Amino acid sequence: MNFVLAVHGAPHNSNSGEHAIGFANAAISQGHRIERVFFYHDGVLHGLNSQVAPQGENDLLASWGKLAEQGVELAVCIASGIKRGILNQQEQARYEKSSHTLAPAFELVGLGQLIAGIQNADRYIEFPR
Amino acid sequence: MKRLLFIISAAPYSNKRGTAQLDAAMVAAAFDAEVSLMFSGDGIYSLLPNQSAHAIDQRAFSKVLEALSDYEVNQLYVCSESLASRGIVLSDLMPVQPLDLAAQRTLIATQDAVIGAAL
Repeated sequence: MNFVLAVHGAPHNSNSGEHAIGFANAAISQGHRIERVFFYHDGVLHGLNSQVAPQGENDLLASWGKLAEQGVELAVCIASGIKRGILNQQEQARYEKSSHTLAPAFELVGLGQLIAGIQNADRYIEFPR
Repeated sequence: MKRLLFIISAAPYSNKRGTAQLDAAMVAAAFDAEVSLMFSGDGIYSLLPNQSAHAIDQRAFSKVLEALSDYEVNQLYVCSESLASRGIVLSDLMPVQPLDLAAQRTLIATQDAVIGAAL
């Protein structure tokens, strides 16, 4: 089965990231496909490149990176992202900010990609804040 | 064409969740999805007319709702139990169709995806 997931909660505040990562790993291990994880609302903060995981705590960024290596597309909503400072090189240049902040495994996409993903998926599963 | 139901259950102006839901609903409509909107819980306050959102520098929820018909989003529903428990009657609200819990189950069962159910 082909899944599209959505993460709406920020890391370290909500557990939506942990839940989505756990679901994705379990689904993949059972032969399903996770086409895309869409980060919306505060969930876009999962894509922040400069996060440092404290010792003994989950390194969510590393977990997302492992999913990306297995072909999961990590799609950050550009509208939710840039207003929270999640910028790729292109947006950094466009808005003349001092640094780009999007982690390498992630990409900025339009909200339309969420809708297109839902339209193509067998199941859409949301992990709220 | 996919049928997508967006549920708005947070009060307007206390946070941005409802606004984010409306943004997504409009994009979905632009992508040719068949969009329905369901207001429940404190989300029903979004449907009160004559909101003075400018007083707190916000975009008026009621104005955005009025714009939905430009996107051919005309299926607006409200939870009748949420109305009753808050002492709000249908005539207080912008035009919207009330659904009891059984009718909501039927509506949800006919959708391809439900978005924001727990927001």
